Amino acid sequence: MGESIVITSGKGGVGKTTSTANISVALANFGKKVVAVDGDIGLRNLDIILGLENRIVYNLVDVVKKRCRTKQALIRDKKNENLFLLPASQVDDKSAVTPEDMKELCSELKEEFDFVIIDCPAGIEQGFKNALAGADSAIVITTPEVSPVRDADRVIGLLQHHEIPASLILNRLSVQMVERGDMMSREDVEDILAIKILGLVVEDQEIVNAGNLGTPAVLNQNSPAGQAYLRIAQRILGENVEIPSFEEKKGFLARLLGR
Amino acid sequence: MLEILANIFRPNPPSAKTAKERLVKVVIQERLKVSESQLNNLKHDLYQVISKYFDISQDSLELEIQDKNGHPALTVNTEVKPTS
Ligand SMILES: Nc1ncnc2c1ncn2[C@@H]1O[C@H](COP(=O)(O)OP(=O)(O)OP(=O)(O)O)[C@@H](O)[C@H]1O
Ligand SMILES: [Mg+2]
Repeated sequence: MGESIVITSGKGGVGKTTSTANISVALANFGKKVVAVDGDIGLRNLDIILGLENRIVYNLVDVVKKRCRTKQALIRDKKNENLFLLPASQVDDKSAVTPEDMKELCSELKEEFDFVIIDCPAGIEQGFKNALAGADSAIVITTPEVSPVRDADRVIGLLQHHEIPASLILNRLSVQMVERGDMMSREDVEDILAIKILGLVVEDQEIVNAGNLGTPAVLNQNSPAGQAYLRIAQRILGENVEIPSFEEKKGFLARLLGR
Repeated sequence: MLEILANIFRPNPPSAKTAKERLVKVVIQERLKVSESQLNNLKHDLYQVISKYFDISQDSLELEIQDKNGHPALTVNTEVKPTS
């Protein structure tokens, strides 16, 4: 019996889809059988980020409406045979699916897969409630800014209400800005949000590159964000991998060159 | 080096501290699920009660929900004069 994890945030655009893709690829690379579920119905993106947009035949709504069998809608990744995508529908809206449907779908998927990773839409409306319904646990994504952290706090409250255990990924942290005092640090965010931190992902241009190419940054050894997602996946697998303090002092020359 | 100089001559103070202070306030109030109108009603009621004992003006009565060692605390602040 597998485990289902919803990736959520409240605030839009903070890195849910990026995190879903990278965590899914990383877990699959560690040999786990993974399905990444695009819960953002009407606004699908996960297919693009995973580079699988040309292979879609059926989608999540087709499965729920029993227009196809679940297996028919699953798309196998090009590189990793352990990884599958269940794409969202682009023509339906969130009301096409109910929380009950999602519960049923997730339990079915958990029989086949070690991990079911669900990409949640922004907001706390129906799409959010659907994405939550079949999840055993949640990962909340935020960036170190006022609005995203406030929304994360709200979402953490809602998750507690639903008795879904949650941990936090702090995304798009800029080392320079924190050192300058112009961005809240990991410690600042931890002080405010009463939740365990699962990982810290720095601002990284390779994420944009990865999106362009449809190959998540976790496969790129030169991507600090990608490497952070590898460590996050290890932590999900129960390994005790430390969160490196990004504030390690760099050499004078490196600083001067801004690297 | 340039960055250090830029920091000394920067026009604005670092903003992360302000961000955190603002967040703490907002988050604490939201966790308590108190609305602005409830706070206003409370303020009004408090004014009525305190007025029985002291001469106060409604304007000087300040209500704030603050963080006290990780716990929300309601702070009431007002000027008081003995009733004549
Ligand atoms: N660590 C990072 N460094 C640089 N850019 C990033 C990072 N994380 C995310 N981004 C960029 O931020 C944008 C939003 O990311 P993403 O689509 O994953 O967010 P989302 O939370 O899924 O958004 P939505 O709420 O719209 O679904 C993307 O353009 C992505 O490339
Ligand atoms: Mg998204």
